[in-house]
Amino acid sequence: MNHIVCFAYVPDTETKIKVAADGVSIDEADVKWIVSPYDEYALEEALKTKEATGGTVTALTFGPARADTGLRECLARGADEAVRIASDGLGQVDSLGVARLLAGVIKTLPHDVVWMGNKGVGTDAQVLVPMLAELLDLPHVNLVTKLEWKDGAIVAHREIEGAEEIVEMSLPGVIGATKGLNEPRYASLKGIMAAKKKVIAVKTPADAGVEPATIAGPAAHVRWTKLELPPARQAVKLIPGDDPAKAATELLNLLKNEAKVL
Amino acid sequence: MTITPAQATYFGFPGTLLFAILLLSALALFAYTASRRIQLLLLGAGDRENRLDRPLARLWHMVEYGFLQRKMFRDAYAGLYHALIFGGFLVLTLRTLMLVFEGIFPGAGLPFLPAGFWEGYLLVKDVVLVTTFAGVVLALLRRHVARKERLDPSFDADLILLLIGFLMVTDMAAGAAKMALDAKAVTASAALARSALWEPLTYSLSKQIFSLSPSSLRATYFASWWAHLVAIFVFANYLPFAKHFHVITALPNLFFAKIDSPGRMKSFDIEKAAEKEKFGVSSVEDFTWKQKLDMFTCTECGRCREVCPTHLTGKPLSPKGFMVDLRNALYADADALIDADAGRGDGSAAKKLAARTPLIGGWIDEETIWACTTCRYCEHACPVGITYVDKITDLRRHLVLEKSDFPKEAQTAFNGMERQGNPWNLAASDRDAWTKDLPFPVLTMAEAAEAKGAGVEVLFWVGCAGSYEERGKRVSRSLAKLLHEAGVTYAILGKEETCTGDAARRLGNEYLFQTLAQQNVETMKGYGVTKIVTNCPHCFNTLANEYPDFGGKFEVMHGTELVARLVAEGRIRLVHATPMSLSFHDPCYLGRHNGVYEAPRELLNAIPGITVKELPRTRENGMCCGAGGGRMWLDETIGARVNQARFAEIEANGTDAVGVSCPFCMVMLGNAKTELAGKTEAFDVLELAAQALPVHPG
Repeated sequence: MNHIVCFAYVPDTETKIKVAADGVSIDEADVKWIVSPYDEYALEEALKTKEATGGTVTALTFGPARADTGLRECLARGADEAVRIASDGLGQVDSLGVARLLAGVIKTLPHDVVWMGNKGVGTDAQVLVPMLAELLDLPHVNLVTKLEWKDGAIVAHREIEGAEEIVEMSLPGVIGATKGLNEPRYASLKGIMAAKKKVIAVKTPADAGVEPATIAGPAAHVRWTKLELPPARQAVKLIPGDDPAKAATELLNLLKNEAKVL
Repeated sequence: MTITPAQATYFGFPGTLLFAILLLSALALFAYTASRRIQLLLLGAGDRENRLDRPLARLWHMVEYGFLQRKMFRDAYAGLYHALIFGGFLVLTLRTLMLVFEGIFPGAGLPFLPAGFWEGYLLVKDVVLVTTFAGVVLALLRRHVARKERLDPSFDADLILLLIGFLMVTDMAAGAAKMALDAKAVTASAALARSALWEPLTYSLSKQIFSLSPSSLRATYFASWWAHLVAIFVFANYLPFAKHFHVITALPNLFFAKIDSPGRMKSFDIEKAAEKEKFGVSSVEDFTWKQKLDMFTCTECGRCREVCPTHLTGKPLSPKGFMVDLRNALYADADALIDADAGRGDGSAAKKLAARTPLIGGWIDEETIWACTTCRYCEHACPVGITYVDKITDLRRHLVLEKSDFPKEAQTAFNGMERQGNPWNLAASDRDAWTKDLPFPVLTMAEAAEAKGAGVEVLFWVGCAGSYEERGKRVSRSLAKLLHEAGVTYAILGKEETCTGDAARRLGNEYLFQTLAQQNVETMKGYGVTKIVTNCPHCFNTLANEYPDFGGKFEVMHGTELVARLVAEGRIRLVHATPMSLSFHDPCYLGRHNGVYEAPRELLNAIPGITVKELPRTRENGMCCGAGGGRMWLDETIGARVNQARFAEIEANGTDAVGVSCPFCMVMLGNAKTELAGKTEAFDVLELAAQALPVHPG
């Protein structure tokens, strides 16, 4: 089977995000970039499947040259091929734009299963899995926490509110992985050294059959107008006193007038 | 003149001929075994490390721990009987040569050395035969009557001890019988009087048996003489197959011992290793020749096991068991290894090797490999200079770098070090946040470089714990206050500092360690750093002993060393009294790894009100808190917890508090206090010193 794992190359989850001077992007100085943790679950599952049943794993991302480090990380863990769609000169691209680029390139590659995390932890809107499936005209199953393989199909356990849903899906298809599916591996040094020697294929939007003007600039469906950090969390307010009735009145007052939630 | 056994004929064969055949067979067999052992030592992928540097220091090391037996007397009883037997070997080796010479040239004495020497020697020999025998008896009593936990019942040990006893008995019997025969042959000669003077014990025995018939005496003489020599040949040829190989290998093992900083781990060239696609050790033959010499040398005395914190808390690692397992793995396939190495045979050796019990998972459990805290107590205890930690970390290197197979908790720490520069995986941008609440600014090297003229005397290396861990941050502020008070111009690297990589290295992740080391060395060289002070013993060890391999040569001081000096120089006055009694817990990486014992104690003694009460296990014998070797980042699921075992010892010391000098000891002992609902609180020595500073108005 041919597996394609799409991933987002995003700021490490521990990064203290700062807004850049332009007010619509983040300050990238001192940011350490990583393969999105949710995409790591997808990669791990694809690698495990390949190791068990054979086939190839191709890692695919959309981004600037720095994302090559993420592709090398995927290669080091065991991916066979690495493809990057260069984002240079495109500016902000919304989720649909990214999905179109990914789908365009995936169509040029043999693919039985397309994988990714149910979300990135960067600027995505958790919509790529269904968008990609639509554009590829494939079925998809998202938020998968457990997978079983059958002939030409999979049985997926997925998280839904307060319960678990078990679905069967025919292949080819798109799988959205989430936390709980597996424990992503740590690349061995053997893998890291081998990955250094591999070639990363760099594609352009044209290779994906996408005209840049149709996804970027005014053509984008989503545009960022302002980025701001959430307000600093305030200290806990403790209502003192021994009289429960008095304290309750005070609490009501604060909820109404200060927190303005009532 | 009495006929000697070699001069006699036996069934028509001259005794000399029989003797020559025996001697040559014994020598040939020994030479064969020895050459096989040496081949085993040298084959495999382990590098040919040079252990001939600093020959004089090595020689002294061998004299100190080999001939003078410095470590043996820590157990006085064992030290005594071992010294008696060892002394016997030293003295009686010459006696053996005498006997061999007499066998080849009957009636002649050894040609070298003046005659006067021999008379004195005979007296010494006479006494030593008896003392050695006494040593054997004492050893057997230890093994069979009052056996210590560290010793295991051993057929080998009993056999060798009995053989040594037999050698003494036969030597004495042959000497006495010969003397009695001589006495019968001559009457009241001067020779007899001389015997009485120079071999008094043999002489008195000979008087006891004088009444026997000459033929009985001759039979006793001949039988004892031959039995003695045969026993020597058997003994020499048995040694290489048992734990008593140390009789031959202990002295060389001490000569070739690790004499540089004990805390320094050996580095390797990652690019070169990558070409061979081999990282660390996965097969026993891939240990270096010195590591294999260690395996040959282990005497199974168990002094390592007796003190090992993981063994004492019920984990599968016992240093002695580990070393013996390695040796068994090496010996089990020795023939196949030698054949395969020489390219001999029909490929059956290679086939046998392919099917052998794997080293990791077969001879040695993975749990054993991960249990070690690298505290080096075992290495301090070993009387024959064996190192254990290097073998543990070599196996870990294989598991991490080649197999990516390690306890999963380590991955979080690795990711943190890799991405945010600290194993807690907290934001790199918060590394200098600990400075915020100080009443004075703490400059970074970058800021100091910008403010021209602000020469920086010393770099304050804060470390990850000092930057992120709550208590550690308090200790960092304490050191900053002390440096500020003394008027030391210092600076920190701030966000440019990253983990030294100590835990990564000791968990086997050499790649991550080297990446961090190179980055840190580059940063510090960029600022022209020459002196460093740090309060983390792990950072201290890495910066001082391991960064030189990456081009970073700095003068590194521990926080307590610098502050103790500042106090001694009068640059800091400690005035506020904190009345309390205090135990001091030596951190392994400050004490045993780097020999710093005095500085924290000097500083504690300089703080008014504090009285130090030493723990029963202290200084070189200090017990680990359980955090070393990257164990800080792993779960401890087997047996009792090391931190609790140490904390119990501290509680039993009955002091108000315990002083520490390592942020990891602080965390481990603090956790143990909570876990056990104990009462002995831990304080860093620098916290206590900072509390004693005079308060300046405003």
